[in-house]
Amino acid sequence: MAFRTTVRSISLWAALTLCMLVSIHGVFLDAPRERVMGDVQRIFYFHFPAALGCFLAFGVVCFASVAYLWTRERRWDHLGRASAEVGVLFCTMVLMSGPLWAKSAWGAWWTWEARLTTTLVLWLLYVAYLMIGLYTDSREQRARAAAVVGIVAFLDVPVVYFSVKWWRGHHPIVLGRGGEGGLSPEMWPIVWICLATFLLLYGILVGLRMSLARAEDIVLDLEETLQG
Amino acid sequence: MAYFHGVWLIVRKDLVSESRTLERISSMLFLALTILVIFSFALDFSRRQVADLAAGVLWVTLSLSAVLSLHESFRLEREDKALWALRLAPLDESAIYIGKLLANLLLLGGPAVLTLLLGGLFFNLNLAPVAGSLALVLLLNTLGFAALGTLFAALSSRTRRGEILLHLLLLPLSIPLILAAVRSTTPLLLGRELLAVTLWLKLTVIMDIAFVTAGILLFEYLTEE
Repeated sequence: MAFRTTVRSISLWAALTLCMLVSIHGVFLDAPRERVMGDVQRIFYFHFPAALGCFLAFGVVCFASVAYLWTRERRWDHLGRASAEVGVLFCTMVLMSGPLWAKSAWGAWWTWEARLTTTLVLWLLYVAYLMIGLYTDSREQRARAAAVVGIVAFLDVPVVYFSVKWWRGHHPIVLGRGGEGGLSPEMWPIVWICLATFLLLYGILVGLRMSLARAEDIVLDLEETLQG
Repeated sequence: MAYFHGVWLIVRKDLVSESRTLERISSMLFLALTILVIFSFALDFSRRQVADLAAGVLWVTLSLSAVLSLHESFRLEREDKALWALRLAPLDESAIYIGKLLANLLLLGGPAVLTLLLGGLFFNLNLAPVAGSLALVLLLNTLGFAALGTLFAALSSRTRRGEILLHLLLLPLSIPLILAAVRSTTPLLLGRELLAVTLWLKLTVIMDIAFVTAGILLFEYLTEE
């Protein structure tokens, strides 16, 4: 059993390392230089997968929250918390890589545009979600509270997006109708590789965080048993 | 019918207990007044055209002062395990939520109307022609805010330093509500018709429905012992 787990984790890490090397090679050497924005556009290969990874992560938080309230199994709480942590990490990467690109493309580090603002609000919401743990005493109480917040926060995402969108506009449209962010055909394979890398990274980090949460739970169970 | 009677009993209970002390209403009003005065120093209302700033200032003031009042609404239920007794009553959990929500709507709405009038006075705005439209905007947005606030006050009242947690959760979650409220109030204060803000009102109604539904469905998970 232990041997199989080790083999599995080694192969996952090996796959991730390989994907990262291929991605970095693709982004810096294979991808064509963007005609208008130049090399700064290469930030996009990290920015976009991190953004999708963050939305996926927060979607998983919502799913895990519903599953926890439904079944009361601790593993769903572990999944929700792990996914929220990785989601906040990815969200931070989006918020840091975005301004680097925007400074050169738009001439300003930050604008109060719909997606930027939504991402910032998302970051605030899920940091608050993670902070619930600091304020609660019992594990069950924390898990229930976090699950409720995980659901309501996810409900909030579309309304935040639409409200800010009606308030402000202008972000390159990457998917759908061309727009200024339209990618040339040779850029797409690299985007896909980067996406796969980020998804794998997400999976591995969540897996690690969940096993840590399980270990923490076992320790707490032992402590409770010892204290009677 | 018994359901609605239960809701009414909870609303009445909250209003009666508030009328004994007027603690929540007075602290919310006093806090709102203080925030308005601070804004007047920060933005210097006397020097500029304030109608387009007024809505933002008023809604930020209302949201910040409402959080404290919301926290009180469940802190009292925690004392002497009052909520526990309430849950023993032959009532559906959702009736408790709706009762608390309606009571909060009234206890936030009252001071909010007064704050709005006070704001009108400070900003030299003529609120009379738009009173009806403003009342509608105020009602819809307070409902959404109270729906989220009632749910999360139930959560935060059980935690250590719950007031901080309530601020951290409620303010980011209500950003779209505050934004919609500001966007629908500004045109009204500039003398436009209610029709000019229907898009924002629709968004507010959608949020109200979503948040009230979420509250009804999720409230019971936060009151369990």
